[in-house]
Amino acid sequence: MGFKKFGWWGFEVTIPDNWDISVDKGGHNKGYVRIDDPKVPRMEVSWEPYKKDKIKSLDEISESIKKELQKRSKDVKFIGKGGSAKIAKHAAKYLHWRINEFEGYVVFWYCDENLKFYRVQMLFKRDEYWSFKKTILEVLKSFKCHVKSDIYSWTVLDFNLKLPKDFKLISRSYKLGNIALAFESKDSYVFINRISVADVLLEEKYEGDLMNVLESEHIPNIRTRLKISKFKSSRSFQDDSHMGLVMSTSYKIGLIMPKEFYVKTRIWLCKKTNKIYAVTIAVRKNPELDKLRRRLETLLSTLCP
Amino acid sequence: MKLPGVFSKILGRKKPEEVPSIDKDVVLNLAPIRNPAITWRRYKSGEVALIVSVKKKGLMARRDKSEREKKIILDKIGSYVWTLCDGEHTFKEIVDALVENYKLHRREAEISLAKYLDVLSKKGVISFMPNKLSLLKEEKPKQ
Repeated sequence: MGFKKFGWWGFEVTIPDNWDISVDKGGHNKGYVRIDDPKVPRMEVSWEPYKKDKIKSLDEISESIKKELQKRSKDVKFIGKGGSAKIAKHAAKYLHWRINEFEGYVVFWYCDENLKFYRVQMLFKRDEYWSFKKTILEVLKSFKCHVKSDIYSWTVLDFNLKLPKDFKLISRSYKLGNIALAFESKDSYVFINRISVADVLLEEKYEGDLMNVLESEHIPNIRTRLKISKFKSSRSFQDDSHMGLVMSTSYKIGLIMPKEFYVKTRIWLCKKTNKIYAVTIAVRKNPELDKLRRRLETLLSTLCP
Repeated sequence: MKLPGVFSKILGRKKPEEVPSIDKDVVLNLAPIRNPAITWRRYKSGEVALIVSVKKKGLMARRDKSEREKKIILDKIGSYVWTLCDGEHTFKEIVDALVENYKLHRREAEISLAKYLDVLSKKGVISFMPNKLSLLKEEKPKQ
């Protein structure tokens, strides 16, 4: 079985190839993600902030998790007394529970690097224990609740991207065949769409076709934040497996103290993956932010595999 | 508002029946099959047109109970899926075909196909039958 990297809101973990995000709630401060294999839920990750002066011991938390599980099901049984572990160099505790044919490991710890409490739950069927044990260890060993670099990675299905830490995910939608993400940082935005079945959408494969996709699929994503109307300049590009358009414009927000944004959109067809990628970077016009704009362009230029 | 068990007993309200959950394995092994009563034709472009009869709407429909024919043209992928709804190909096999032919991610293909087949079955143009192989498995004598 192969493994792949998964990143979301600052944590990174290696998971089996056929596991994918299926539920996500919350945001940077407090949130929850569920990862499923093609058939059943396999992993749950939740995080919340904590204050150093108001901290519960891991043993106390262990007891409250036990009570919580007992409330959920009367049939819950705890296998062993639980134990200690190390996750990303943090002291952690774990519990092993069983409810009828289902079993799970709950692992929890405090990450003092980003002041968050993490709780990871791995789920499996009783008869899968021996085949699944190795995977559990592999996943937990690879779990990084804090990353040292100033870049966060984001994974949605087979789509990966890297963005500076201070970019927060402000909206996401996984519509059929169209993944739309929007990120915001101080005076800058990033909007991304990944559209599937390009050969059906772009039957005639001409630039006007790509413009239609841009208008119908990507521009609505941008307009959730910036009410841009028309692009001022446009040029096309092409290589062996890609063809696309680069467009730019500027956009002003506010009447009394207007902020002017430089908006650059790149939309391209990746013939290898049969997908259309559209990326818009909107950065406030400012010599200091010019460096950020160039960095974003470099980070987002390699979206398709 | 949800009433606690005791109150619902006093008020004589019945507890809503729990919807039985279906194992995903069972769904993956179901084979969609076209309604033989539906007329359909395939164009040279590969698109499929379904001719379905629908009830007339409006004021006159109260007197005139006859039905009219409506043509539904399926898009390229929809037509491809329609041709695979022959009772031989399982849901899983159709997903595999979509992944292979349209380079879709498996989950993306699964969700889109489930939604699409749901629409078709609500319109009564397809139904689902258990795959032959899974029936054979059930018929195996216990050792």
